[in-house]
Amino acid sequence: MNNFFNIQLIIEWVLLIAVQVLVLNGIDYLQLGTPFLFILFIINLPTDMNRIALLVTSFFTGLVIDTFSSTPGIHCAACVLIAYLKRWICKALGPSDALSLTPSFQTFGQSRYLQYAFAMVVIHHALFYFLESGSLNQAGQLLLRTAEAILFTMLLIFSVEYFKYRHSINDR
Amino acid sequence: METLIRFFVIFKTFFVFVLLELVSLVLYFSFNSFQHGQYLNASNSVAGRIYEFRSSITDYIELGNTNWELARENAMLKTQLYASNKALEYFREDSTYAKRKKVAEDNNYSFMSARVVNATFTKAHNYLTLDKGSAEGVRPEMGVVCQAGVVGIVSAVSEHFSLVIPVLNVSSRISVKVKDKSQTGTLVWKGDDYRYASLEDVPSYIPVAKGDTILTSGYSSIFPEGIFVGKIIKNERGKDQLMKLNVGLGPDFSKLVYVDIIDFKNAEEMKKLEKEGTNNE
Repeated sequence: MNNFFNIQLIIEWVLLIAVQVLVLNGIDYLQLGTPFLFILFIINLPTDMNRIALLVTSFFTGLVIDTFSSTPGIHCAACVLIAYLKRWICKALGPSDALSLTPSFQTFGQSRYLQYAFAMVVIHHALFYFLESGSLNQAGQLLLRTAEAILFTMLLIFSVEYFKYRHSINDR
Repeated sequence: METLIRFFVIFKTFFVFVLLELVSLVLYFSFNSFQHGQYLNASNSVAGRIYEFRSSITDYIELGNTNWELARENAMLKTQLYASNKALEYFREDSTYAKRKKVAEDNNYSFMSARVVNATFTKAHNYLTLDKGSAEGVRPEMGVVCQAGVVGIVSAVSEHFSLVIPVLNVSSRISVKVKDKSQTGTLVWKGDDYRYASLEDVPSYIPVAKGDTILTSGYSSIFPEGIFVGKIIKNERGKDQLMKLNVGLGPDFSKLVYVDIIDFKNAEEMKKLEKEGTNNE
């Protein structure tokens, strides 16, 4: 929290939003679910950040994405939920000192990080696609789309994090 | 009192969480009640401009396909032109075609071309964003069609963009009729497959066959009469004795690029009259 408005976080935020809006939101083909890579921002925020600041940041991130995809309130609700649950998910799935780290492959370890990210993605996508469909009339199709989107998002998160990890090793 | 304040301070994170979730849900429910949330959708000018920028890039990627389609369309039009030139020789002033054309002109319909800059078709509430807005004369409740049939109805406009509720939106209702039968019905979408919609409010004693053509009814000021909507592809009697009519939609909503917005010049007057009429009752 000590350096919340740091420039790297802001650049990351803008990049993730841009990729989400300009590229990923366009992936609608084959009736697959849309991957939501932008929640990586919420996943990777430092765990020792003030929780109210975390909630408000997540809310506005969701609001921006909502504005671009005409899904008012849906991303907001899903993002605020994972931001609220983040602390406990970190405690349960992260390393013992998880609450003083910035989540990444390096700090969490690959398998723990992926478990933690998976839990966050599942909760976000489940709530998002449930609210988005507005009912449980097409439960089978809803589950299928949610599962596809979760897989897709996890694949993207893995690629980004792996790239960052290799990059940081080469830098050393 | 002090305990109460302490209680709030201890659980402040939880209360902020609940508050933000409530705000989200209020946004969610108020937008779905039609035409609200004018600013929080893809027709607001910032989002519209960014989407226009995106489609200015992706349009180039699609250029090959578009070219091919244009060439094919050209060929088709040439064939049609030849055929209609021949047919024209036999036309007389009092033919049904001439009559229909005159009705359309009398009713003051005009068409305005627009480009789709953003579209979804896999959700339950789908929307299209067009690059024409109030500055070009687009108003809410104008009809939108494309070459292959009816697309939807304009729901909100900003200065240079407009948001369309297409047939592919569970809250869309369009008045249609079966060709050559005077029976009208309502076209709705169940939120499943973007190629099909359902026809409702048709009494079960009306014989509707597979392959029957569905056209707009012209009972509202939005669409003129007789615009192609789709063809019946399934007619089955359900358990409740009501006919289940599935309509294969004309336009391919996954590939919409250019559409026409229909401007009915006398829409205001017609609506005013209808409102006055019902008020006087």
